[in-house]
Amino acid sequence: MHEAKSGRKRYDLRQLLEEIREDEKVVESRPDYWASQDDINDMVQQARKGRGKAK
Amino acid sequence: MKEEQKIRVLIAEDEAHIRLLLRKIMEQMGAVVVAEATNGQEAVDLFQQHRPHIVLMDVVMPVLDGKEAIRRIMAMERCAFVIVLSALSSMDVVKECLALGAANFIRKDNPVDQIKRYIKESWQEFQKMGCPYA
Repeated sequence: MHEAKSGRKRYDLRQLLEEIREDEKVVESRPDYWASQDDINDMVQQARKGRGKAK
Repeated sequence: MKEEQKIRVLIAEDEAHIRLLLRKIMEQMGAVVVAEATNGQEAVDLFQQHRPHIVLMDVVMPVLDGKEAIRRIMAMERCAFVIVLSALSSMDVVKECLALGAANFIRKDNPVDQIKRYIKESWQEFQKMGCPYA
């Protein structure tokens, strides 16, 4: 990305595509990497239980 | 409801359009946004200044990221109520934020009504249970 004289940001689409492909590789290699909102809700419940016990 | 009775909110988010969206959401919920931070350091400073009831915190921000901002806010006020709103929801980041003391973690790609529901439920739970560290 670079800034044109007008001040507008200009993106290098080829570089962006490369970055997206790299990200896709990470996602495919680690299927449990990202947490869905349901995963998060479970983790929040666990954290609440832990805090309740610590109280 | 009188202004001083309203729930006071601090929004920490580097994207202006998301800040605006969160402000609208909180105002619709009857809260008042007392401050907006565009990075983690501002969030820490504004928290110290305003002591809001609720902090809505992004993770990826310039100067100081949301995780470090939560750490500093919790060090300042152990009973701070912080909800993370982020697009970056890797398992590790979620675990880290919850371990730092965040009350909830909401993905930004949730529909607005769902975001409202999560915020409301978390706040009610916090009100009911009290500060877990008190």
